[in-house]
Amino acid sequence: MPVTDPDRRTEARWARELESMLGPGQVLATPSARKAYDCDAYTIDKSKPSVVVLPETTEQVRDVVRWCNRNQVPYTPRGAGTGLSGGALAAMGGVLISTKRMTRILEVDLPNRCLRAQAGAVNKRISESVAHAGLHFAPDPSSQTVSTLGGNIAENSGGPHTLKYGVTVQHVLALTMVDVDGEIVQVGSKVPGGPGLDLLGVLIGSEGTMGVVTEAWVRLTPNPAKVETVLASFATVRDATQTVADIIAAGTIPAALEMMDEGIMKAVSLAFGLVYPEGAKALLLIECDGDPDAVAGEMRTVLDICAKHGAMDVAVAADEAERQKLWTARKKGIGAMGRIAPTIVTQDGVIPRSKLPEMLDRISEVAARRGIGIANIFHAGDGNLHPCMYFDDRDPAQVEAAVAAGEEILEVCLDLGGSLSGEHGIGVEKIGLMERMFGREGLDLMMDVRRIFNDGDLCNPCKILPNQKGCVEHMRRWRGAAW
Amino acid sequence: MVNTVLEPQTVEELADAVREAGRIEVLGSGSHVAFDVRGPQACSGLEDWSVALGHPTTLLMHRLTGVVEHHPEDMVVVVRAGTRLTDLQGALAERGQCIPWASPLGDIGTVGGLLALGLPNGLEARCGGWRDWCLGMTIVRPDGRVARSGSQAVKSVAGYDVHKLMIGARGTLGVIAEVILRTLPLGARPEPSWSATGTLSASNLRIQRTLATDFAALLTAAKGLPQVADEATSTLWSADVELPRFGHDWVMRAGCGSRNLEPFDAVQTGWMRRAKKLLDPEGKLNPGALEAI
Repeated sequence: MPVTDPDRRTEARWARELESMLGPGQVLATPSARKAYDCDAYTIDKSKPSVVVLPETTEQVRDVVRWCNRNQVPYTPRGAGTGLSGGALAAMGGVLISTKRMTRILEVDLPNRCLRAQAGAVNKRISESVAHAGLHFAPDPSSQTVSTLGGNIAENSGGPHTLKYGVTVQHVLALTMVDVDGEIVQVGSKVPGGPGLDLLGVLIGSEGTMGVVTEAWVRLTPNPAKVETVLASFATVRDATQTVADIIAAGTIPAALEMMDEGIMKAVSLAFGLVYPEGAKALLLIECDGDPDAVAGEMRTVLDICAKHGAMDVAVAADEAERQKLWTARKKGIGAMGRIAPTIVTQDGVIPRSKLPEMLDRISEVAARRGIGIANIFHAGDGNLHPCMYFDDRDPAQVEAAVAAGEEILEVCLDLGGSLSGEHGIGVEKIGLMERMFGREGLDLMMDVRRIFNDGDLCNPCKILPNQKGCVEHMRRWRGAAW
Repeated sequence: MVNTVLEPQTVEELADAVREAGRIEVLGSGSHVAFDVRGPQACSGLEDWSVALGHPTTLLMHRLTGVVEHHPEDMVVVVRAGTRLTDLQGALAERGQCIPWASPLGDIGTVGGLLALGLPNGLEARCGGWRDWCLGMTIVRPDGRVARSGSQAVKSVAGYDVHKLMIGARGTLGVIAEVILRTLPLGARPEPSWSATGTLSASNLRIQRTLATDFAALLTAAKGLPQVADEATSTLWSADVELPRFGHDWVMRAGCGSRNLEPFDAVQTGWMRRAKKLLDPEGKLNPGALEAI
């Protein structure tokens, strides 16, 4: 069994040993640092690491993992900490391996449209570094100005433009990682699709439970020649969801197809002074990109369908500045919710697209019954919901109501044939619903697959799969720390 | 002694068959049988492998067929693994949809067989491949347990994507029973932009993919051969002759063992063997194929 409840003297010794191995300033162990790293952007459960390390190279990560193995100390990788399901929670304490100093772009291969970067490289910076060549890194999670490549790989992150361009797994060619034995290994190849097992397909999205990814080769995508952006408002949520269904059914695949409801519109109006038509209950943000002729054709289809469903106001961006303005409600919508309540928890269930109208009705029913507020902002094109529950986390009863409402919404997603998570991951947050989605047999198969890479209990324990050894008794402690 | 042949019609029958059987060879339509999934002993012809190790059971998938569910408005189809691709394409076309698969060999093979082989296709640059279309699977494990992976949601990060591990695994880790695929409107399906010369056959096929910067040199070397060349993914399908190799490239060809499953580096090969040991500890399914790497 790993060491889980070390005394202060043991922790101080760990910090000294790690610092002498890494270097001055690369180990944080003060009470305030440990508190700062006690959760990611999922704030309901908290657990302090004993030590935070800030390695700068793959070799240093290897040394840390080997040290953890020698001392039987659990370790948890962490990028920018923007994860929304507790994937970077140091669930059993131990060492938190932050990639925040591993931000270098190591190699750029423009003729083959790929690039190698360290795991801590910020998503947006990767695109900026090749903008001069007319290329970008396609996954664009809303956190992209801070979230890291390693975090995107761990969560298989999506974003608004993944409807057309795919999620992270479609854009990573190869990984360098430190495996659980402390060996530096490469998986995948700059030439994708080769014979043998798709190890990369399993590692991407494994939430840091199968080793610590330290570098990756990623694909670079040409910037579209033309981008058209529309923001349309509708008198009913059903008009908006029907517009989404018709656009997809027409065979048009927009680059982005996003929806926001009244709650989000209110928050954005308060925060940014944006004005929407009187009586509007839903907004659709639609973006088409690519070859100019094709975009013109897609736009005609989109505008026709919007009109057919009685769009109240249709704004087409004339230039980049206007485009950014139309995106404000979508990109800053969740942030703006801070105007309405002290605490926001965002859910991430997915449903088959045609079930959107029914799903939204069910969500408002749950919100009313549980007595909490829920606003909706989501990737309508692929059925990925983001219901934002807003409440006051100083009141334990409200926290409990929000947790219960979240679980209830996810159960509805499963009943409708959907999934627990579209892009945020399972982490510790949704672990209790995994058996409901996959059954005992599905989870057994996943456990066997985890053992291919990680047969121990030190690497990011207590995530994704329920009932892991030693985790159950800790769950109460995480929750207690938050309340 | 004659091989036992099993032809399950339902997932339950498939599970029973797999549970009861000893070593099993899984066969779809046999269209790609030249990509022999058996190990080098079976292909060597030097000894009677079947006699040496005892006759394996042949599991024919051709009766486990049909579309289980098609939701055109969600662009999702659930199909049984033994369904021929032409039949699936036909059923989807009635509702104006398709799987954007374009093989130089045509729409041959079954859905399960094609997934198990995981070969590239000519629309990959624009429409992706099996790992992008496959949203989930029902998998029969060697001990007969039936496990589900993925869902009908077009985007999901819940748990490990176990179904991705089955794509290209040649039926060595589990038997694919049902598959959930995303579909594409027929109108959005592009024509392949490959250039084709001569006629290719599955029994004498070589597939090579290189970095974009090496592809012109490969084409020069392959001049005059029957071939299909897709510049968008730097992939060449050709008659099987020796052609130059390039850094990072890979080759798959009709034949046995390491001819069609050339080893990667030692680390990745080690993990593939480990996967086999963990998921099929008794070595029941398509014995030889992964052990050969």
